[in-house]
Amino acid sequence: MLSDHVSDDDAEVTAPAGAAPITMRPALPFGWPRWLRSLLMDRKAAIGLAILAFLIVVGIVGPLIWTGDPMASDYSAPPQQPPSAAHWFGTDQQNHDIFLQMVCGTRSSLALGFSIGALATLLSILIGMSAGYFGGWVDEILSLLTNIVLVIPSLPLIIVLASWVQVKSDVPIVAIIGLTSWAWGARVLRSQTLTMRRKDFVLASQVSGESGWRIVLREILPNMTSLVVSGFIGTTVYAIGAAAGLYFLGFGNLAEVNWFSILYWAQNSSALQTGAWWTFVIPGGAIALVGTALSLINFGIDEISNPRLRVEKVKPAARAAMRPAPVAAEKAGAR
Amino acid sequence: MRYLSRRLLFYLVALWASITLNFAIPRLMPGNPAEVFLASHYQQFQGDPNALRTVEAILGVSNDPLPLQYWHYLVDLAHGDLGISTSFYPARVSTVIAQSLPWTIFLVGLASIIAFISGTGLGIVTAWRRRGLLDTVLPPLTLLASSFPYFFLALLMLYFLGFTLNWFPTSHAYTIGSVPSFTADFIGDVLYHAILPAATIVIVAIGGWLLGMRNTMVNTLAEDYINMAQARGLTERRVMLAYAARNAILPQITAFAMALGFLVGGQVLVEYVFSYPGLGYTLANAVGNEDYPLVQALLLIITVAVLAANLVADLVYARLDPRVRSA
Amino acid sequence: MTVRQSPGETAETCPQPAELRGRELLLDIRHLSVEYLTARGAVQAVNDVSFQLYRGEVFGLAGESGCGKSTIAHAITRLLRPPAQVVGGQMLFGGQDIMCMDRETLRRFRWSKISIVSQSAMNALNPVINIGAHMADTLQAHTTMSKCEALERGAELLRIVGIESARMRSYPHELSGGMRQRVMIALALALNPDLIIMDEPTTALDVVVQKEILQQIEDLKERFGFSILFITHDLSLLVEFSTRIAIMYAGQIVELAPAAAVFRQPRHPYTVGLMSSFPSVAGPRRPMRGIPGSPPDLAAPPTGCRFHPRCPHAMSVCTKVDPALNEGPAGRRVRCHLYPAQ
Repeated sequence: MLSDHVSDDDAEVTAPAGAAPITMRPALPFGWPRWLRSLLMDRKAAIGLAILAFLIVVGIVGPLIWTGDPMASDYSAPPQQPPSAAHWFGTDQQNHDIFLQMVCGTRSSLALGFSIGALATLLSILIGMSAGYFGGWVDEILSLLTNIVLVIPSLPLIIVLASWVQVKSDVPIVAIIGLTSWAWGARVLRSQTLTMRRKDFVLASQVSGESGWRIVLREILPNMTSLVVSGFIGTTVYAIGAAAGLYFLGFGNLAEVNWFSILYWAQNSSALQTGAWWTFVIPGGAIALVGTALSLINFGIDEISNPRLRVEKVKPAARAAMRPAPVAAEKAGAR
Repeated sequence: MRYLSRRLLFYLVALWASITLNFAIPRLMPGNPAEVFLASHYQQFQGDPNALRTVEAILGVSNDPLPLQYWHYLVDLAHGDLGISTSFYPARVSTVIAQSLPWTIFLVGLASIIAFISGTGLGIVTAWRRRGLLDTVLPPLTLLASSFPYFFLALLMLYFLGFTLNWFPTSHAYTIGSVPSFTADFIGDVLYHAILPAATIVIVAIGGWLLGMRNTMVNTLAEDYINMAQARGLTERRVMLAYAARNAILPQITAFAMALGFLVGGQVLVEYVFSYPGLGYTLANAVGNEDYPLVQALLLIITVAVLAANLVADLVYARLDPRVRSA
Repeated sequence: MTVRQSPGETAETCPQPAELRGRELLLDIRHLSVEYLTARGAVQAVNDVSFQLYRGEVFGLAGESGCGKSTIAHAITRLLRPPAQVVGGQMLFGGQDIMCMDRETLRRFRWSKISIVSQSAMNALNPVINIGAHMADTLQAHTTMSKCEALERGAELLRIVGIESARMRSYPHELSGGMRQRVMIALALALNPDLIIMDEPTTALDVVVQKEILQQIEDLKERFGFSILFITHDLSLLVEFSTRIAIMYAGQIVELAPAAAVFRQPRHPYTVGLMSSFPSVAGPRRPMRGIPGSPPDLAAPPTGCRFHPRCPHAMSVCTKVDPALNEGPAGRRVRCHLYPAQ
């Protein structure tokens, strides 16, 4: 699907002689996958990818560069110091350096979000595609399940579930959020599978004797990549927000340092009242930044899959050259 | 009418599922909630040999076989008996909920209607005038706004507009100490207190409606009947509203129904940040206080409210789409 | 831009066909060119098309899918959407330049002078409002009728096309394909236009309904006296129905002649190929002869005559020079080096 809208030849294309040249962006380094090229040509998606890449790099490389201990307390000053040369992001109630905490927490924050997204997407593929492909009773039951899970408000449910479980690691959080957020994706994938199922290439595979699941995985799924990817990204945005919410209310895995826990401690130490805005604006801002980056990427995928959403920008010179020639004036002159 | 009866059946099944889920959760969790409760509240019950039995009675923990417990549960539910709250002891859970429910309905109702109407309206105009100023500015702006977790925006607004600048009150639904009444003063006070929390919800939610409507409109505008309507010389306004928007609004309504659950969820955190005394705030506190009867009941009530709202959305959809009516 | 003008040629200097002498000129298309901008470059969907349409005639426009016929219809009614653009030529209706009309003039011009019946009536009607609303919308947009009057007139129009007025309250999805097409025709008649463009009006219908609809159209034409621009890929329909026929290939008109002449004496090799692809019901069995090859890619059309790769009579000049649409005897025009200008 993504490849349909990018030409094989990305170099300059000239229209038949006389018309204004229609230029395309220069080709990317040889070997880059096509989907990446089309994604990068969309400005919104490119910005999103850049931000995401930056954060991932910080997550991996950061702790190697800034090797301090995020849990070390600096008692040289009172707690909750605003950002300064010594502590770029200030300190919190326990005199921890927030910059270090942010850098060291990047990896686990992103990992948490993505693993929840992965779990939910996996479930949505399993349930949605089975319902769409196999039909009949399987479809009835799975659809009912999907619709019920969809209609029950998830955040209150998550809060209640989290309150029952003793959270000592990331696993309960991933499980709770992941097991309640697959429904939307399942519904979308189900309806797309239903459409695909009637297509000729699927019928051909059935006739040649391929088994149900093989057809689903090998024939149908590859045609739905953009749906699955954008579903994964959307679910991850939601997951990050939900995880932040859980931590905020105190149900997170507080043994670990990540952006969500920093936010919790900020709230816990009445940062609002004491005016220590850096303790919550910074981690919250980072969370919002990831959400924005992912949403931008999704926006870009939408625009690529649905060309109508693109706002065509024809260069003004080219557009002017395409107006109908003043034939009447010429003719009047010729007579 | 087949469509509606199918939907009604679905909601009944969903209702049953939520009731049963509500029943199952506490009984599936490890440990005896009565013992957990006693452990944290032992001071109240010191020296009472019947403490465990009393607490078990309050919490509804019993050793009866499960089907019997389920039956009792359903009967109690039918009588509107949701148990006794442990954090507001000896108030009944239903009383506690009855006090917070109106505030939530007010806040959610106000915020979601504003967000939906303005988002949809702006979406229509944005899609109609592609490449205009609105189309360049609004989608990215609202996309940014909707990527903010609800409560983060709530924190920001509370901090900067509430604590720092002191433009708005920082907590509760009305000034503490004033007596609730239907006077203009009190209503004004209520609205004043509702501005920040409502604004938070509107800002985060509007992006979704705007983008959704815009995208649906763009798809609808590509349909043949729009072209034909213009070919027939109808005015722009008529085509935009009766032909384009009237069709594009249908998926929006479905999306609205589905987003309700999400909206209610975000509400919980917003209420918590602003100490707004609605169901969400009560839930957050109840969870913190391990008030399990209240927690379970709140979850049930919130779910029922969302189901009811979904049913209403389905009714509206059926009213607007003639293809569904004759199905 | 590939706009070609024969110097000094205007509608007045183009002789009127004999059988239409004395009739009023309605639509004058001069050297119309339309392009689609795609990622691969500009596709010339319509290239230097000229023809005149007179009052009371049925002008048939025939060709394969993708030859540009529907594009012309959309260009005339100014329904072209990006990435399609008119890049050359003029379209005059009653002397007025259609491309130069401002928004309000265009709105009032539309439907009252030229209306269009398109291919898929399924998608041409708004699914959420009923037929009565469609009729009322159309009438009220152009007249000062009240809602009641408009609905009455709408019911009358439906009766004229053979639909009972109770159907005014039906929704599009409740009608059959044939009925929807009749509704489209009723809508097209609403303001008594001078010209109705019919773009493949019967293609989506089964043969029996096709015949009924065509009969209906003919009766209505007799009754109301409008001209028809009939666009189709089915040449057999045109031969019966039209006054004159224009054959299109790869965005150009390659032959223009009275219907009987096209049927009995096709000149252009493409027309000859088309006519011999019809099996005849009577007469001796003949082996079927199609036209070898496939239509050209309009983003990079062949040099010279666009049909030369598939033409059995191609000469060396055909690969180099694109022939002009030359006037022949009896007002026939052919775009072929076999029939040079006289």
